[in-house]
Amino acid sequence: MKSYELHSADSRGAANHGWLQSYHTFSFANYHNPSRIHFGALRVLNDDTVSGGMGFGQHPHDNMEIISIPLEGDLEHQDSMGNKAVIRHGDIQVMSAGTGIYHSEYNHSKDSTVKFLQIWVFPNKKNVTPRYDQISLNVADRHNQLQQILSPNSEDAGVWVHQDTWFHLGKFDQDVEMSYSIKKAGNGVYAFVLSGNFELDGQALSTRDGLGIRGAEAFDLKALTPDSEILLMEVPMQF
Amino acid sequence: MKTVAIFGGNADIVAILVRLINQYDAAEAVSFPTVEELLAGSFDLLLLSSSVSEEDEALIRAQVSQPVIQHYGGGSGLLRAELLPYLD
Repeated sequence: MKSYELHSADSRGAANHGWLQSYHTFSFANYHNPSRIHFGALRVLNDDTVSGGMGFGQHPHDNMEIISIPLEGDLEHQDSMGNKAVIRHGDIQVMSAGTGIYHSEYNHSKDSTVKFLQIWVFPNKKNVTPRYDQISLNVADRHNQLQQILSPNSEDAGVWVHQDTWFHLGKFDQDVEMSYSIKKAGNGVYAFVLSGNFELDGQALSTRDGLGIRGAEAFDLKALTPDSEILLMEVPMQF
Repeated sequence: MKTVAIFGGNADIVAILVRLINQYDAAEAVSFPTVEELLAGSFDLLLLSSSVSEEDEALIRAQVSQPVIQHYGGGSGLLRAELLPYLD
């Protein structure tokens, strides 16, 4: 049976560190809400804004699939596997932390802020060999359609991760409607509105609202405002 | 005060977890370098970090009677949520 779990934008945990403003959809660091721990395999959805020239110094990660999506500005990444890269708006970055990886993330600009999503998905296998990848997406390919940006398959569109999860981005004109079909039976979808207003199966969503959808084989999506942008994250509910 | 044992094969991450847990008022951390020392150790709950072989994990889960928590993420992000239910 289909069910919905609405997380309004203002219900997220907020952390203001001066150089970093972060909104946590799920419990993270000092934000702890026992009713907001995860949605299936989706464990972290952080909506971060980092001041110019600032960032996260070198720190470790393990056993997690970590996806970064810049929304405005550019991120500078460096890690213990020798990768050094700038991730720009339109790019997507993935790290399989596995047995352990160190990395740093800084705002590439000294003057302007960078806004990005950092998303953590539980892996389907522990202690994998760490890996890093980033790709540039053609932003035009998400106009009035869903652009796949992540999957479990290395041969498929977007980056890949160690989990049966699919991410799509879409940017829609007002009143455009479409439906999304679940890729793998039993998976749920967490929808996160980047901008504008949407209706998903009749559920009204505004900018930065999130909606978890369980027990669905498909659902309907309608943009209610011009240039409305949404991220759909299909994840296993049992993992 | 609860004693949290940490076991993992990535020494750098284990050291960070020890440091982070020792900042909590309700917990103190202790790490063990080998399975044998862990199984002989005294603690209230066990945090299982990364780089533990499947064989060692199976042995640990079979022999440790205290709660075993799988730690994910390798740092402070999820640690609080993982431990809080056990630190009341």
